[in-house]
Amino acid sequence: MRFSEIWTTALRSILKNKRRSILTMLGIIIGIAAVVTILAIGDGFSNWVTKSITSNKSGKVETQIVYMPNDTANTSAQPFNERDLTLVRQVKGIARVKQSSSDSDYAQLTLPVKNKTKSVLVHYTKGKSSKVIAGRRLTAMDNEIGNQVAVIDASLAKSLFGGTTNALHHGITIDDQLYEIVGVRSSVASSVNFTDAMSGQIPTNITIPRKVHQYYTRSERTGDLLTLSLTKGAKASHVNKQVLHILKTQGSMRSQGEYQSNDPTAQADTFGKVLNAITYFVSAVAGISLFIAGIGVMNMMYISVAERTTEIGIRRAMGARQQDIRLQFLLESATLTILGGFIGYGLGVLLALGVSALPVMPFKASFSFGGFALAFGVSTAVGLVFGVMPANAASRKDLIEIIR
Amino acid sequence: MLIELKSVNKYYQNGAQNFHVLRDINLAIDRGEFLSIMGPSGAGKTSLINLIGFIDRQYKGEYLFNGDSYQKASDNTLARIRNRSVGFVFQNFKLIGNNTILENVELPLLYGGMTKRAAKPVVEQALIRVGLSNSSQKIPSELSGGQQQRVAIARALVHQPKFIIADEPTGALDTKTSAEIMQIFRDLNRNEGATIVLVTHDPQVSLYGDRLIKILDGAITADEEVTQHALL
Ligand SMILES: Nc1ncnc2c1ncn2[C@@H]1O[C@H](COP(=O)(O)OP(=O)(O)OP(=O)(O)O)[C@@H](O)[C@H]1O
Ligand SMILES: [Mg+2]
Repeated sequence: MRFSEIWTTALRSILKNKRRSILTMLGIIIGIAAVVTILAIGDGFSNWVTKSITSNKSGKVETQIVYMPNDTANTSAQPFNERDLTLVRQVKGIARVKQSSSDSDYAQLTLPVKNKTKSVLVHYTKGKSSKVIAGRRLTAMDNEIGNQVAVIDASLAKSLFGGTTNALHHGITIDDQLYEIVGVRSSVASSVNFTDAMSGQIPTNITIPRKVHQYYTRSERTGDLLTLSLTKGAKASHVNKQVLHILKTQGSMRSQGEYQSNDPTAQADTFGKVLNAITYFVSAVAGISLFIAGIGVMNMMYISVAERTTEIGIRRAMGARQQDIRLQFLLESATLTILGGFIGYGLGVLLALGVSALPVMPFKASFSFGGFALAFGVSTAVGLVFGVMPANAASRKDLIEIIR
Repeated sequence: MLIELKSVNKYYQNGAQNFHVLRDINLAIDRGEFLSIMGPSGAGKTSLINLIGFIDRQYKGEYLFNGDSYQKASDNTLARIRNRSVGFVFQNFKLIGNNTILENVELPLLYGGMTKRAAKPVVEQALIRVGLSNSSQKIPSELSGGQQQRVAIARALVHQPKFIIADEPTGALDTKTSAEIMQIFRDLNRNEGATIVLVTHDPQVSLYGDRLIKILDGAITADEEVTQHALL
């Protein structure tokens, strides 16, 4: 019999037993729906991550390599020479290398206070400092024109000069440079507040204009930062690792200091790892569901074969070959699971859309052809794998026994 | 000769016991013959025609069909020869209950490689021939016993087989319906030259054929011409 006719036969016999077919499909539907949902959400997430870490001007992912000298006094040599840059450029996945200087907005310094040393947090600001309780704030103008001025907090003022107002217009030495204290802010707690830190407003003991600080410390940090623009699809962590390896083994300054990397995708990576774990979990559950569903399919097919023994005998007497019978039952079980797969895919799409419509979700689910192909492939495979044994049993039935 | 059996013996293995069901059968059937087989229950009639219809090949001796033996043929070859050469009418109709009449009757055509579309008019023609026009979309349970047997006959002749085997086709039918069914067989034989091998219990039914063999305990006890035909 022609393939298409066998398939029509298979489809009809599924439709003739609607309730049983639907119950058998349920496991497939649930399993496929779960996989499709989690895939769509996972894809949506990774799209969102890629978009958010590539939202710089060039639209490319950038990572950074910084050189940290062991001995800050010895600054004669360049952190990266031409040869270093050439080496780095050769790493696969790097589109462009830009050299610049790192200078953190914050620094932890030690100050001599009453014959003891005290650790203080310094902020190099480009704009306004936070509110003061005496004197004035730092302004953007201070930064622009390079005023050598500082704002300190009340507790530091007290321990250095005995009072908040006393401190005004005194000098304070920071990084070997003398700054005039023009303002005093409220005391800073010793522990840093996390939410302040996230919003970029860490209360510091000392605030000075950034430009002034840069002017004096330029020589120390010139050109110690490489910004690597990655080619599309390159993985930041992977590229960083390779670059670090090359620099640590061949870098010109490898004996005088350390190279470190900064991966902007790292945070997204940890988030992604959690999502991955969830994906694995859901996949495992879906896998078990599909396996059990497969057993259900096998069971139903065995029952169907037993019920239709006479039909098999009639077909064989009418000229069906063993392979015709096998194909008929195999197609029946595959059609059943593929049908379940389609329903499951539809359900999964609805679920994923529902989940991404939740207000807490920062991203939309994304549907790919891969997800559809997976649903189709897996459901087909389940039908074929678990249908083989019943189909073989059907085809091997002894004609004499069943035609009597 | 279309069918030739030479010293055919058949045994059923029942545990340790060997049951001798066909004893030294010698039988030749020519094209166009209408042969009736009679015998008491358990005589071995079904065993004999299953063997002739390529359903069973566990026998000793020789069975030549058109001069060829198929005892050692592959399952696929047997399926093909069943499909091309044999039309079966079973004792209890044996229609597929879930399928429509059309789907039942088209089976031999589909297994012969025809498409459903091409098979449909051929099926309708066969149904008309057995007096069952306009019921191709019904399912078997909607038909009477006599009508179901007509469907089975349509299925047996739709693909124009070399011969038709009918195992007690009137066994479950009343006298009047039996006569109608037998009339179809006789017309097939007379008008279209179909070769028919028909098993029956009923002496009245055997009178429709041209030749009658009697079987007792697996052996042929009589083989004679039917002179006194049933009243038309
Ligand atoms: N598969 C089998 N295994 C064992 N014995 C069998 C088998 N098939 C038939 N027999 C036995 O062989 C004998 C002949 O059976 P068969 O079906 O050929 O008889 P029959 O002439 O067709 O009878 P009936 O008129 O009742 O249909 C019977 O005694 C039966 O019990
Ligand atoms: Mg019988």
